[in-house]
Order: sequence, then structure tokens, then C-alpha cells
Amino acid sequence: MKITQEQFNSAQKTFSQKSLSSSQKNIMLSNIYGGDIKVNQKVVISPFSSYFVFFRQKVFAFVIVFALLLSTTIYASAESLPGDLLYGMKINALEPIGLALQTSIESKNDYKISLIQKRINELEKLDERGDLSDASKKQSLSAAIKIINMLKTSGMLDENGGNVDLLNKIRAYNFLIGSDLGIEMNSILGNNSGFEIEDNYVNLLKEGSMDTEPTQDQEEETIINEDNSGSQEIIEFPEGLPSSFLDIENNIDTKTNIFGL
Amino acid sequence: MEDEKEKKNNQKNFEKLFQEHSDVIYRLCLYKTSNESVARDLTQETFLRLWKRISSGKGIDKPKQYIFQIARNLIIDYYKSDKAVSLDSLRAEGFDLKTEEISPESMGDVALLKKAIESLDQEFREVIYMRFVEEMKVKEIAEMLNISENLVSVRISRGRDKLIEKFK
Repeated sequence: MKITQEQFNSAQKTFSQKSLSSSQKNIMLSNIYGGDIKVNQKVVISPFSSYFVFFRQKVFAFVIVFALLLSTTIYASAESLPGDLLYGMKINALEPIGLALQTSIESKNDYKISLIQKRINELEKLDERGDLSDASKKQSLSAAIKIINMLKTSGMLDENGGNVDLLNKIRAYNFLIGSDLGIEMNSILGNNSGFEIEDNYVNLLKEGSMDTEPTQDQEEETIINEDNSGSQEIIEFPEGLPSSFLDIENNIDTKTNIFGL
Repeated sequence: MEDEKEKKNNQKNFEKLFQEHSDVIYRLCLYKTSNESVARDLTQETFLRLWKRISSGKGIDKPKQYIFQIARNLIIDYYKSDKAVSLDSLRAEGFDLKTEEISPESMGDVALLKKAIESLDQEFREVIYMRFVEEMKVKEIAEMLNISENLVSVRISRGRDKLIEKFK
């Protein structure tokens, strides 16, 4: 069916009058401006957000690098020996932190004794490497005395004023560090005896020296135990004695293996 | 302060364009989609895009042409989208589509105009619509379609002749 010109003109007239009502226009404008607010919010947030992401990535990278450096330093410090650059950090930072992490008095004391054992191990390592210099000895001694001072106030000593494990370790330490240095035994024992242990120890050392059949010269070098009333005790070992303190321990036949901790 | 002033100025310009062209765009969308609700949505979307452009501080050299172009693109998008349902899919869903021709008397204005104009070749349709439905001037049509005024005049003349022939 064909469309006439009149029909077309009539439709055109009617159609051209079609328009949006004012309320429809107002709603449209409201929607448009409402949409605009969202757009503006995006514009405001977006740069901050991207900056924040960028900043966060930088912080994250920095934290990773810092953590890696810190862990490497801590590891290197933990493995350091007297005379090393990081030894001070080990003594003044890591070990106090380790001590602070111990919860009970017993565990704190055990930790302190384990630190003495560490000092012994350090000296042994240095001795093996041939790096046992006076400076490293002094640094080690300073660290050891620090622990001893802590132990003195920790109620570690038994009824007799001694602690077999601790005393054995100190002796081992003194043996390694040499006769001129060393920890004063009486500073640990105080005026209390604990000498029973001392005497047994000396006697057993003598027995040990006999086992090794010392020469006459060797016999001249005796174990000196000066001032039984409480001054410094320095133990000297005759030449030809077992080089390892473990051998001495075996000969002493004490129940405590000082290196077995 | 200056930002506030600029925003108010942008809003004023936008609302002026909205008042001038919203009805034309609405009729174009209605003519193309034959659906008042869709026509309103497309008109709103057209002006939303215009407002975004204006509020972002980007200038528009030929606002009429720009608005018309947005509307045309949106109409094309509408037909490309899933909203445009094919006849085959409607039949498959059980709709009874009448194949017989509807009489002009029972047709709506939009359908009648569309039937008449869409029977012309592609190049005449928009020009004839703008000239005889929207009663735009040659210069305006040339601006909107981005073609020369001479070409618009030629197309109007030939299109009108072809339309009259169809009325006979």
C-alpha cells in the first residue's frame, strides 16, 4: 500500500511536535549531573590512587630490600667471631634480644650458660684458624665477663656456692683464652667454697697429667691454685696434656660434658 | 574561585545546547528506534557525553555536529548490542510476526515517515529526514553531516523527487 504525500505531511507535522516534556528534561539533566559527580569523583580519586599504588610499591620494595639487608647482617653478625666488625652487634644486640625472648628464669639462665659455651666455641674457632689475637681475646673476655656478671645476680649458684656446669665452662674458657687473661673464679664463687669442686678438678687434672706420662720438665709445671681464700685462680696445664679440653673432661670423669651442650 | 566560575560557565553553555537540541536528538532517536523509552535513554546518553566533554574543559568547535554524531553512534551501538533482536530469534521464541503489510492509516507517525524515507537510497535518507521532518536549513544539514552545502542541496532535490514519485 502506498503512502500519499498528505499522509507524509500529516505524519511529519505530528512527529515534529513530539518533544521531551520539561519534567523529562529536568530528570535527564539531573541524571547527567549525577553521572558527572561520579565522573568527578573518579578524576579526584584516580591520581591519588595511582600515586598511592606507586608509593606503596616503592615502600614494599624498600621493605623487602631492608629486610634482606637486615637478615643478611643478622646472619653475618650471628656467625661473627671476636675481632670481627659485627661482633659488637652480636654481643650488644642479638644476644640481649635472645635473652629477652626467654620467658622463665630457668630458661634465661640456661641461655646465659649457652652464651658462655658460645664464647668457648668462638675461641676454639679462632684458635683453629690461628686468629686468636690479643684484641680478639680481650673482646671475647669482655663479652664473657658481661655474661658472668649477669649470672652472678641470677641465683645460679647452688647451695655450695657453685655450679658444676658453669664452673666447668669457665675453666674451659680460661684454658682457651690463656693464663694471662681469664675469668676470676673467685668472683663467681665469692667467699663460699665450691672448692670441693675445685680440688677435685685439680686432682683429676693431676691424674690426667699422670696418664700422659709427663717428663720431668713437664712435672715442674704445675697447676697453680693460688690463694685458697678467694683471690684469682689461674689454672695452667702442663705441656703434653690432651690438647682438647674434652680429653681432660673424659679423664676428669665428670658427668658434665662441657662441649656436649 | 576560578574553577567554580568556569564550572558554572560550562554548565550554562551545556544547558543552552541541551535546550536547543534535546528535542531534535530525541526525535532522531525515536525515528530510528521507534521506541520512546529507548529514545529517551539514548538522548540522555548523548548529552551525558556532551557534558563530560564540556566539563573536562575540552572545547567543541561545532556543537550541533558533535551532538548529532554522538547520537548517530549511539543508535548504531544500540542496534549492534544485544537489545536488537533478530526476527529469526523472535520467531524461534514463538512470536507470531505478521508478514502482511500494515495499512498507512494504522501506522504510527514514526512508522509512516520511516517507511517513506527508508524506501529511498541511503544517501538521501538523512538529508530528507533533516530537511522535511526536522525542517533544517541546508547550511545546518551541511554542518551536521560534514558535507558541502551544494551536495546537500543536490541530495535534497533528488531525494524529494524520488519521494514524490513514490507518493504517486
